[in-house]
Amino acid sequence: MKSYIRKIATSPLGVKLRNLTGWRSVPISFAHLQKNATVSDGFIWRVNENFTTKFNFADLLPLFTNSSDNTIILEFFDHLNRPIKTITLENLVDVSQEIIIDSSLLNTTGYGSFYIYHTSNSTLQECITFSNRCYVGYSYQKNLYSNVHGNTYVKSKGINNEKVEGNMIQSSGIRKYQYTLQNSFKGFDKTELVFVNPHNYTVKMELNGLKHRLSPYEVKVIEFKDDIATIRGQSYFLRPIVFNYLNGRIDVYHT
Amino acid sequence: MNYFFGYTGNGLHSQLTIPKFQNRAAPDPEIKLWGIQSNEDLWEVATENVNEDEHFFYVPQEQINNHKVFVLARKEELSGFNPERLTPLNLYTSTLPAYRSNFKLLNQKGGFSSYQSEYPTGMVEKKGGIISSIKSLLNPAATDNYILIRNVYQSPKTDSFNAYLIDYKSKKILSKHLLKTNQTNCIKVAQKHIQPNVFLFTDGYLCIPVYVSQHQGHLSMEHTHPPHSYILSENVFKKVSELKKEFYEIIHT
Repeated sequence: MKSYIRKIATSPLGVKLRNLTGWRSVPISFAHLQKNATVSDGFIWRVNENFTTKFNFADLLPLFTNSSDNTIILEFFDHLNRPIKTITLENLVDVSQEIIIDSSLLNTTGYGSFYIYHTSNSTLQECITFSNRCYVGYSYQKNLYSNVHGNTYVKSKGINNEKVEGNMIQSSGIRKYQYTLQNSFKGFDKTELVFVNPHNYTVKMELNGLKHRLSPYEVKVIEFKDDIATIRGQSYFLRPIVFNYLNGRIDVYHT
Repeated sequence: MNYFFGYTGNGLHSQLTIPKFQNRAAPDPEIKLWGIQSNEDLWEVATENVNEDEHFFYVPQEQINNHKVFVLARKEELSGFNPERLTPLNLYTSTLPAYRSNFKLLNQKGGFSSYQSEYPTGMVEKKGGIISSIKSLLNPAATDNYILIRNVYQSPKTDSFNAYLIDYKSKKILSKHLLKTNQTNCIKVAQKHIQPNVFLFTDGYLCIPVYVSQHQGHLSMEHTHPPHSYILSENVFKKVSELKKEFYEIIHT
């Protein structure tokens, strides 16, 4: 009986009901994903006269499966989730890979999101769902890249098909969640908090009482001037990337 | 319960900003900061007098060494402290998202880099090994590249173990490094080893690898994840053991 209840409670419908009511809520769920899938964080690119972005990632499928015809797909979007470019990488020899994201790659400037997926034509001997957390470096005024790893599960794609799913990060229909970033922002020339909406629907949030609205998968850069940052909203994880500026240097980290 | 740590050496020093509050709750006014360090094969705990305000403890470089870890606890919870084995004093820092301090690394030219850092109890109680790709975070164009390798283990006795830089494709060991438990160890990585198929592998103890690059006064620092955090399906431990087996075969051949 217990295992039956557990099965229902952890099913996609069970998770939805728990989060709708706030009873034993589930912050992150992969229950609704297909069996062979890769999950991508919502990575952020910044390209302008001050910024270049670098993306370091690993060809993970050969490390964990029998697949030998791996493809890596990188999908780039602008800050409002409008597609910019898709890059397909095949026949990769090395495990670690790197691309520079600049205006010549994207044919545009600004900021936005990008996602990494691993696909294969091989039939996998064993089902696997995995996430490639990867590392994004930001070079400010052509100086050393400041690196940060992926931090928010946003989209997923089948390893053997094109089906894209989202909403691994959960939200509640009733409760509002509060999240205070565990660092002080005192003493910097400037601080920016960069959010990516991990949902395929619009979410509202408050940052220290100021209201913001993020459209589906939108990336928003918010200049932040207080010492402490508290986020309130119905999404469980609206966790920004922090860009701290001091004396012409930057420090980028996830929260 | 989480432990917090820093690093000093190679012209670098660190500062910690340790929050008094859980990320979804108000600060506990009774919470205190304690330093724990091994001395003659026993754990010792002492109060840490640092600058603080309503929200944070600010640990300066002078109070950070490569052995000490910092914890948060109420004074009365120290009655549970065991000098022979590191055990959790409370669940105050066992939160989701993880309870983290800011570990900031600085150099003498004004460069700085930080990440939100913690060493979880779950890793203190286990032995094992870690695998981490070094090219993902080190920068061959930088002047200096280091890997800080932090271990915290429950026994206060110092033990030695090995870390290797391994070329996964050629199955060759490029370099071998002797590390100590309960220490922030540091490996300086030669530019020639920052290659796309080179991995860091530790044999014997779990660790958190933190990658540091330094160039023209600027710093970059970030940690990597253990391989099991990449796999979200139920076969995670099987998949990771299969991968680790390949690395064990390389070092034991």
